[in-house]
Amino acid sequence: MSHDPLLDITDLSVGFDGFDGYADVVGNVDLRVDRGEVVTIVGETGCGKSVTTKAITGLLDEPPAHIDGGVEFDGMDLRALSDAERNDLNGDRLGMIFQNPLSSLNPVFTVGEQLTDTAQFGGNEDAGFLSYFRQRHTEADRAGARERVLEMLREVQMPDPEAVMDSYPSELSGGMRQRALIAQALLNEPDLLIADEPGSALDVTVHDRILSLLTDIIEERDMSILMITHDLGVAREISDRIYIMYGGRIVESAPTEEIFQDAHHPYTQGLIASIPRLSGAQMAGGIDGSVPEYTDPPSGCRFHPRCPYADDDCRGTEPSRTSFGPDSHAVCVRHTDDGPTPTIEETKHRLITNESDGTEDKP
Amino acid sequence: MTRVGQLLRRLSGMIASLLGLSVLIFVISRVLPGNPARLALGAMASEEQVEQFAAEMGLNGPLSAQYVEYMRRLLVGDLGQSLQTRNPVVEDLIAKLPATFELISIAFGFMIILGIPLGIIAAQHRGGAVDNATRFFAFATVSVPSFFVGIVFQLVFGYYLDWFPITGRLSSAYGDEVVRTTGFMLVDTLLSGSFAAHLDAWAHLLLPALALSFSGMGQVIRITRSSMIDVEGKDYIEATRAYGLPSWLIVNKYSLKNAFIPTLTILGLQYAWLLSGAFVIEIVYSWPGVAKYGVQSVLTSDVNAIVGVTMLVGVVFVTVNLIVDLLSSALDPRVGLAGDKR
Amino acid sequence: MSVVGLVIVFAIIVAAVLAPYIAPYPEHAGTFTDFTNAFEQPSLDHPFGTDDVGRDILTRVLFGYRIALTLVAVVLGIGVPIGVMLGLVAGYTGGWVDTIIMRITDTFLAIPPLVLALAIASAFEPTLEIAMFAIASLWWTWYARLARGLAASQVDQEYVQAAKIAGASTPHILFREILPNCLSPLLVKATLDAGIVVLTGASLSFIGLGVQPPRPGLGTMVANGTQYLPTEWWITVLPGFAIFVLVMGFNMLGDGLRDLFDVEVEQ
Repeated sequence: MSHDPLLDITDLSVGFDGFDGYADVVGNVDLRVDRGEVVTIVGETGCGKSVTTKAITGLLDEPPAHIDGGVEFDGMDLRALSDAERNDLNGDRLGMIFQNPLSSLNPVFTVGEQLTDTAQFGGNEDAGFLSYFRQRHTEADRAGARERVLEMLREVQMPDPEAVMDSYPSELSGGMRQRALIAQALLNEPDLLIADEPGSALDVTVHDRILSLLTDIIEERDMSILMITHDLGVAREISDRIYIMYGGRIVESAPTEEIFQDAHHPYTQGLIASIPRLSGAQMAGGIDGSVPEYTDPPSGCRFHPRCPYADDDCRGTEPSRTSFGPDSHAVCVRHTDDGPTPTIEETKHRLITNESDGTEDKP
Repeated sequence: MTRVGQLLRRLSGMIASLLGLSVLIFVISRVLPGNPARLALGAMASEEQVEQFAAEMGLNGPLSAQYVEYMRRLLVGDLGQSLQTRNPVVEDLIAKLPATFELISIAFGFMIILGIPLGIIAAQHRGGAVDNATRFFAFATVSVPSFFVGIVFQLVFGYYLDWFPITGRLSSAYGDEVVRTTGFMLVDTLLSGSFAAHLDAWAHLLLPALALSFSGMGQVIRITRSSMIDVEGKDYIEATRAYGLPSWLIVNKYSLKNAFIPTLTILGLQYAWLLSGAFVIEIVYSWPGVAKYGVQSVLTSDVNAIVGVTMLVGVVFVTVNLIVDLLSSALDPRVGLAGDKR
Repeated sequence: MSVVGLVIVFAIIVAAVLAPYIAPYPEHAGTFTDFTNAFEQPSLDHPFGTDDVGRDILTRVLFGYRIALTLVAVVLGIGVPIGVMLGLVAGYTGGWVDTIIMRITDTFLAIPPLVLALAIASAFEPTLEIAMFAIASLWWTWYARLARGLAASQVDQEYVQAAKIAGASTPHILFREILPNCLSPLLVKATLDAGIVVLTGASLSFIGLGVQPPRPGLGTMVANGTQYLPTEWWITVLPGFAIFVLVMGFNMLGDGLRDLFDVEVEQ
C-alpha cells in the first residue's frame, strides 16, 4: 500500500527545562497522516499528546522546550521554517481546534470580530499595519470575510449565527463556543485539521452532537484530520487509524477495527477491557496507577509499573517495535521474547485478578 | 441589576462619599482645637478683631447650625472669601484651575506615551537587558520624591544646560501678546496667533509635567509589563498563533486590549496621584495653579480656600474613579459598573 | 532583589538607631551654627558637605533618617492595627456595621492622602508631631479596606464555619483563625506603604508643614537648600537622594516579599 503522507513525523522527541529538572516527555514518536485520513492519538491526560500537537504547529517556545526529530508537512520541513513562515502555514493549511472553548476565545472581543479577523488575516503574516488598516476598513473586503464567517457558522450548525457574531464568548453556551472554535479552525480551508479533545470540556449530550458534527464535516470536505482524545470509544467512531500513546511514547498503532479486535499492547488491551459494556459481562475497572513523572521516568518500558505482564526484562530494556502488518505495530517486550503473548482476554483476566486480590506488579 | 441601576447606585455612592468628605472638612476646619480665626489673623490681632472675624466666617453658634450654614453655602457655590487674595474662593479656583489641569493633562500624556510602550517593550524582551533596565527605571521613578525630581530637572536642564526655563508658564516677553481666553496656555497662545509664544508655553510645561509624570510612569510601566506577560500566556492568545494571525496584530490589537483593563485601573489611580503630586511640583516651579493656591492657603490658614481646594480635589478624584470604571466596563463585558467582575 | 532591599533598609535602620553614636558631628543635628564652615563642598571632613549655617549634612541626614523611620513606625504602628481590626470586623460581620465602616473609609479615600494630610495639618500649628498625627489618622483606611476584603473572602471558607459550629467566640475567630490567613498580603502592603509614608512625610516637610527647622527633617533640608541652587547644590541634592535610597529600599523589600508570598500561594 503506498502512502501519500500529508503529515509525516519521524523520531520526534520533546523535552522541557524546568524547576525540578529536565522533563523528558515525548520520545521516538513516528506518526503519519495520509491525505484524506482520519487519525487519532488516544491516551490519558498527561501522556504527551498535546505536547506532540504543539510541536507540530510550532506553538512551543524553544527553550524551555527542546525539540528533535523530523516534522514534515506535504514534503516541507516544518522545523526549518521561520516564525513568519510558520504563521503563514498555520493560518493557511493547518487548522487547530482547541480543547477548552471558554479559555480559547478572547473574552473581550466579539465572536464576529475574532472570526472575521481570522478569515481576513489568518495565514497572512506579511499584512503590515497599513494593509491591515486598509483591508479591515474596506467595506468589500470586510463584508466578504464576514459572509464567509456566517456561512461557516451555519455549517457548524450554530443557532442564530447573526446574533452570535455580535456576542461575546461569555454570553454563549459551551456548545456554541465549541462550534465557534470549530468554525474558526475551518475558516481558511485547511488541508490538515488538528482537533484537541473537541467537546471534552462539555457535557455528554453536547459532546455527542459536536462529534457527529465533526463526522459530517469530515465527510463533506475530505480533509485530513489528526484528533486527540482520551476516549477510545470516540476514536473508534471516526478514525481510520489509531495511535495509542503512553508516557510520551507511541505504544501501539493500527487501523481502527484491528485495534479493537486484535490489540497487541497490554495498555491498549487494558483500555479496551475497561470499556463499559451493557451486556453485563465483567469488565476491568481500569488500570491502576498513574502516568509517569517525566523528570524521573520509570526505567526500561515506561508502562511497566502498571503492566500486568511486567518482569525484569521490562524494567531493564526499552522495548523495540514489533510489526504486525503494514500499518500496525506495537512496542512491547513481550513480543520479542519467549514470555506469554498478551491478548485482550488474558490482560482483562489479569487486571481483574489483580483487582480482587489487591496484588500489583511493583517496579 | 441593570446597567442603569448600577450607574445610579454608583452615583449615589459617590454623593455619599462627597458628603462625608464635606463633613470631614467641616470637622477639621471648625471643631478641632486651634482657633482658625486666630490662626488666620495672627498673634498680633486684637481680641475684638478675632471675634469679629469669627462672626463673619460663621464660626460662632452651635455646631449643627454652623454645619447647616456651611452646607448651604457649599451647595450654592459660595465658598466664602479668601484671606490671601481677598477674592471669592470660587473665583480664585476657576481662575487657577486651567493651569493645574493643563499641567496634569500633559503629565498624564507623558505617562501614557512613555509608560505604555516601555511596558510593552519590556514584556516582549522579557529577561533581557532592555527589560531589566526598564524595570529598574520604573522602580526608581516610583521611589523618588516628586519634588526632588522637579528640583533635579531644574538643576540639570535649567541651570546647567540652560535648555528650559524653570518657573512660570510663559516668558514675560510674551506676556502682552497672549490674551487669556481659556486659561490653557497652549490654547491661548495659538488663539493669539503667536507660534513663538506657543513654543515658549511648551518649553515651560515640559519640565514640570515630566517631573510630575515620573512616579506614575513607573507604575504604568510595571502594570503594562506584567499584564502583557500575563496575557501572552493565555490560551486565547496561543490560539491566535495557531490561526496564523500576523504577530504584530496579535500583540497590538489582541494582547493589548486584554492587558489594558488592569492598566486602565492603575491609570485612573495615577491621575489622582498626579493631582496630589501637583501640590509639590507647582511650588517647585512656581506654577500658578490650584495646587499652589492650596498650599499657600494651608500655610496662611486661609480656611475658606482650604475647604474649597479640598472639596475640589475630592470631586475630581471621585469623578475620575467613576470614569475609569465606566471605561473598564465598556472594554471588558465581564466587568460591572462598580468595577467588579461578574 | 528583595535581598538588596532588605540590606538597604536594615543598614539605614541600624545607621539611624546608632546615629547619635556614629554621626561625625552629632551636635549639628539641632541648633548649631558655625558660619566659618558654612557652604563647604563635600570633602573628607564633611562627606556630604555643610549647609548654610555650617552644619554637617551627613550627620543631619542620619538624624533625618531617624525622624523618617519614626514616622513610619508611628503611622503604620497606629494605622495598621486599627485599620485591620476595623476591616476584619466589617468584613466578617457584614450588614450595617460593614456599611458604616466602609462609608467612613470611602470618605477618607475620596482624596489623595497628601491633600488630606495637608488639610488636617492646616488646622494646627505646623510641627512634626502634628504631621505624624495627620498622616496616621488617615492611613488606617487603606488597611481597613484591604482587611475587609480579605475577611469577606474568608467568611465562607470551611475552617471558619467549623470554628463557628464549635462555638468559638467572634474575637477568637477573627484573630486566631482569619487573621493569620490574611497576614501575607497585609505584610506586603505595609512594606510597600512604608515608602509612601516616607514620601508623604517628606512632601509635607518640603512644603513647610512637617518637620520644622532647625530639626533635620529630610524634606525640610531639601526645601531649605533650594535657595542656594545651583551653586551649593549638595545642600538640596544629598538629602533628596537620601530619601530616594530609603524609599527604594522599602519598595525593593516589598516587591520581593510580594513575589515570595505569591509563589507560596500558588504552590
